[in-house]
Amino acid sequence: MVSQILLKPSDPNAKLTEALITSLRRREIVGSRNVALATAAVVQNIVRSVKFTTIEELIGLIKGVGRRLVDANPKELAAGNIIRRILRLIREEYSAAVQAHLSTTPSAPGTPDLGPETPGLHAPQNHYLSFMTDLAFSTPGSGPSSSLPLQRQTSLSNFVAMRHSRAQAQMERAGSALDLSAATSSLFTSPGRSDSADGRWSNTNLAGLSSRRGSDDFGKQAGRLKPVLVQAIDEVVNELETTHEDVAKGAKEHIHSSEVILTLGHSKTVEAFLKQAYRDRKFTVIVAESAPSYLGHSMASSLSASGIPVLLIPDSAVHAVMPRTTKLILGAHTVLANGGLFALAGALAAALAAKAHAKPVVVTTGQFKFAPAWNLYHEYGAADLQSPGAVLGFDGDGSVDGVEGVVPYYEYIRPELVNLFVTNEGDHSPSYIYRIIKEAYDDVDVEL
Amino acid sequence: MSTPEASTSTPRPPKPAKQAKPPSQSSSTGTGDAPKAKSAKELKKEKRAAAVASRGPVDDPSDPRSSTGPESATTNKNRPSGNSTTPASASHPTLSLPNSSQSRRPPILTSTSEYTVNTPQNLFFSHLPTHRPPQTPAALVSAKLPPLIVRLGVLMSSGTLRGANARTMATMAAFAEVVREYTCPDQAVLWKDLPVYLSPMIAFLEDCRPKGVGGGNAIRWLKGEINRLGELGDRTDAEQKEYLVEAIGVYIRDRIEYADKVIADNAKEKIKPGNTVVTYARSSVVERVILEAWRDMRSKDPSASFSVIVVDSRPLNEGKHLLSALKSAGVPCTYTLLPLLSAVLPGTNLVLLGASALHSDGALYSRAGTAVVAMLAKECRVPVMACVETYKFGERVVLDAVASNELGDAEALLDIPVKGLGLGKGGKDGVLPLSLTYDLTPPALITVVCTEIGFIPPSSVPTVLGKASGVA
Repeated sequence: MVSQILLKPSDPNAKLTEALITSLRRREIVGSRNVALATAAVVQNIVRSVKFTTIEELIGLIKGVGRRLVDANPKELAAGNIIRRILRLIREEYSAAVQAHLSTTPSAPGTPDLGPETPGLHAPQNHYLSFMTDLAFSTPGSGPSSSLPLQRQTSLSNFVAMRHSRAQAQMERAGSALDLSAATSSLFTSPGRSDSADGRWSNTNLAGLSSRRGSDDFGKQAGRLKPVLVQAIDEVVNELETTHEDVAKGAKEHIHSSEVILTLGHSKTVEAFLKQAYRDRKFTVIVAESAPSYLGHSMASSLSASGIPVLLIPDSAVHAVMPRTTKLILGAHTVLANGGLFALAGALAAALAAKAHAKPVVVTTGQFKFAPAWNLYHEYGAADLQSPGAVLGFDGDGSVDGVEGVVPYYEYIRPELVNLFVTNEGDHSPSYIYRIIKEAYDDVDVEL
Repeated sequence: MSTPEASTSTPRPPKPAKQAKPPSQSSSTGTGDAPKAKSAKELKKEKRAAAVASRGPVDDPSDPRSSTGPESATTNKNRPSGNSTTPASASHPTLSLPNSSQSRRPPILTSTSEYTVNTPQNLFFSHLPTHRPPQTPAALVSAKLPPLIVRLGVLMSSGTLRGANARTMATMAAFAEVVREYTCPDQAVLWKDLPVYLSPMIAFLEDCRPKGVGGGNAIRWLKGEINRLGELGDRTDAEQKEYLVEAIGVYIRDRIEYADKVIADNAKEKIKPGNTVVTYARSSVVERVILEAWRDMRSKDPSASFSVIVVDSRPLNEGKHLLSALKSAGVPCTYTLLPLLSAVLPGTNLVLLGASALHSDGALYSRAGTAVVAMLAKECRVPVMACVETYKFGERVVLDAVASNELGDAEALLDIPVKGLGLGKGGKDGVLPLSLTYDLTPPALITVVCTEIGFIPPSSVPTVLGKASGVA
């Protein structure tokens, strides 16, 4: 059993986590970017202060926090996304460190020198894990026939990794299978544990790798990686903070002069996008006010402060003004792997109207909103409902007694209704989103 | 500001001051028909000019929002000046034509600039008639319109009287009253003089609020009916008036009241126990359908029930009224706003829509937001039933809701229940609130139209129109 470290209740980090969980549960913190930033901050604090000896302890701890955050608000997928992203980076850093360590200590007994043979091992993304998988299954010495029993994915980049692992497995078999410590070999001889759906297997393998590698117990010194890991999370935070600017970078390529652009609510990404575009192009924006939050009003106010001419319309006029508009630009709450998205309630109507009038629908979003969820149940149950007070009002005169009010935050938009995703890392069509998600997160983290 | 006023008012014909008996004045010129027609026309022009003059300050781009403030002042100023010039300019009524047509142009340009001027977004919907308060003093004093009509105009303009049926019924009832009160001048023929007498009133009402297809149909019918008086021949004025008043009553009864009853009888069959019905805003027909269906279902089986989802949208929030009407009848209700509709729609069985008009291509011209509801219903595969009386069927075809629409009260849009979102009560420079009153639902989104002649597909409107010409 992998040793699991837990945050003590007295730990300030535990309190931080609790606070975030509470505010997520109470919807005090809303907006995927805010949630993402808060999550990153909490995780960074944990990494900075917690004492861990092996990397899997840390990963286990972060995953535990991630699970709790996701449970606190299952509709807020950004928390999970950031956890996945950070885990991914931690593994990457660790793997790089392992590589560096191995190449500097080539004489360690029973340790194949991977350094010269695997020049690109830590550069591309998905190798690392598939490499681990193959290794895990081939090392028990079940013979050359089973050298590659499990291939989780076959992509071009994986072929390289597979070759490495095969070569390595052969070397292991040839020389040093005996060097496996009792603990790790017992792990390896129980393939049932290596179920890819089980999130823990990679940790055990990491443990196996580190303890197997190095009599100097490199794995036990994972704590030394702390500064690197903190820095890695810093990168995530930076990426989050500059998302709006990065998304807006290509704005003028998507907006031509004298356009009439429809948007709704107040997406900060869309706002930055439009403001950036207005530096080069002159256009008009129609903002739907988006009841019951009426965020469209603040959007209109903010855009007009930058000199952009704005028409403010009620939500009911979305279809009526559509012939006048040239483009619909939406912000996203979450982008799913199938290219569909959750967006502010009202967006579906706008997207459908745009489709009916053959106007392009552009979604501007940071990639941290891309969630590895393929088919979220997007019927009634997926609606994240809020208090009906905003709609019905608390008149106190009993005029609304016995009346049910339904007030969801978000709604689902099919991928077919979207023409383009403009992200901080390039523009993509909905059909390509799954690929970006594959590349951004490790498969083992899909289930936190 | 005073210069344009002077130019419009100086050559003005004598009519406004002594409008009380225009026919007697013009009866000396042979036929007595053409001058009278002119006088009516001029009356219209007169009112236009007055309206223009009162909106004069809007022309000043430096002061975009001053229109409401000095308005009353200008109307007051305008009226006496018109009176004072009347004796001087009694010469040629025709002379005023070019001038008044000139002065008629500004309102088209300025109508939307009541809010902000010189911003590009004004231009997008500048062709649409703007919501503005009616010129009641001008109508009462200079045009000498019956107070009944002016009151009706104010009610319609303020939104107290809303809905195509209510407005049409009120208009027709008011005209019945006007006909009853009307006395035909000695030398005139009733069926020739009455339309002339009515037309400034029609124009005034139109100015207060465009009458729409249904109202237009009703008024066209009324004019046709007056014309038929001429064909009917020998009758005293009293008899003719009697005939008209009765005919108007029959029109209201048959084309609206009975039609609604039949529609309700037809449509309620489509609501089954356990169903969930969605409706948007408030339509008198839909309300009637739901209430009768409820009564019907309850009388057959007291345990049977269906529920209604009332969808609403700002700025009018008409659904609240429907909600309270349904609630007091005991119908289980859910209330939600238009952007939130997609969350509840998948579990529903029927969408009921009212309409302002049904164009001859089958497109439904109705309260803004109806198209959104129909679109979402299509997305969720929920049948859409539009309840429309045949008097609302229009010959016209409009391609989209931008081509013809009405601009609602944009000021109301800025008044939101959430505080601190940026725009204050007066709005903000560069932000133009725009409230379209209607939108157009394409026929493809309408499953069936329920009329008093039965269920028809939207494509059958021209057929019905062809037939309806024979219907009373």
